[in-house]
Amino acid sequence: MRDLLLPGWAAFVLAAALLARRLAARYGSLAALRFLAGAVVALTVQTVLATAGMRRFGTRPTPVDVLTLSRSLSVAVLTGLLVSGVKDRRGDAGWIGFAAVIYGAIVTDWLDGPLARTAGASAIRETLDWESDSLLTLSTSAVSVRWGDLPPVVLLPPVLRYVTVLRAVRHGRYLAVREAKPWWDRPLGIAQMTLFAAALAPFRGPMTERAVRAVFPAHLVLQAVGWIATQRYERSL
Amino acid sequence: MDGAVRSELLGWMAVALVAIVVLLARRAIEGRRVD
Repeated sequence: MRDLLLPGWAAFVLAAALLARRLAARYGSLAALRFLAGAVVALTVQTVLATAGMRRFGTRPTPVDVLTLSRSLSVAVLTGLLVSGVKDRRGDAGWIGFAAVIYGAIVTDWLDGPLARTAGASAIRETLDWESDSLLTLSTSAVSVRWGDLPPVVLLPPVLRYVTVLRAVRHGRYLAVREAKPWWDRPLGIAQMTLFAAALAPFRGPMTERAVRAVFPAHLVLQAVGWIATQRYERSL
Repeated sequence: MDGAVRSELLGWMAVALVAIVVLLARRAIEGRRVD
């Protein structure tokens, strides 16, 4: 692993261990161990993939890349919570998961772009950003089903995204597809994460539940239309 | 106001506050940018 990636991985593992300690006090050692195992595996897989990407792009990580990669901690926390077997939206697990979503979707996602434009970006930054966003969306959709009471159909768009990407990779068009993201990609992504955040909110009450129920059908239609439009758009590239 | 509704409003206000702080930080970073 190169330069900042190994210390970054170690710091994220330490953060996961601290969270596991907290979970152990509330849900017992077994749940905490399962959480830590899931989180460490998720962190390691993401770091290995990032290292392979860096090698392929012939680049080294910048501090901004580490900020982008810190989204892997959010993914790891959500994966760990899924593996832990704990389902407690209103308790510690719910708050930790919700904080991971807010950190990944707002703090790192909104800051790494301008920081990269100011401080300089590595050749792999856009790819890291896109892939870490997708993993965060996938893991958030999974926990939204697990303890956010959303139906499993919400897993479909994040999973189908990987079908599209694998097809692009197979045809050697990954970079072309990544660089030419359609204009609706971002608003649909924000709408999707907002719905997941609302479903996962530990403070969710009747008002939020009514809002989630009201927008859910429109969300499904928009995701389906967006996916079809994206397929047509990517074929036209 | 009902306690559950108050908790909900406070929760979403806290999320909005985080979003506003991050947006302000983003604007400050973009203000420093020299092209």
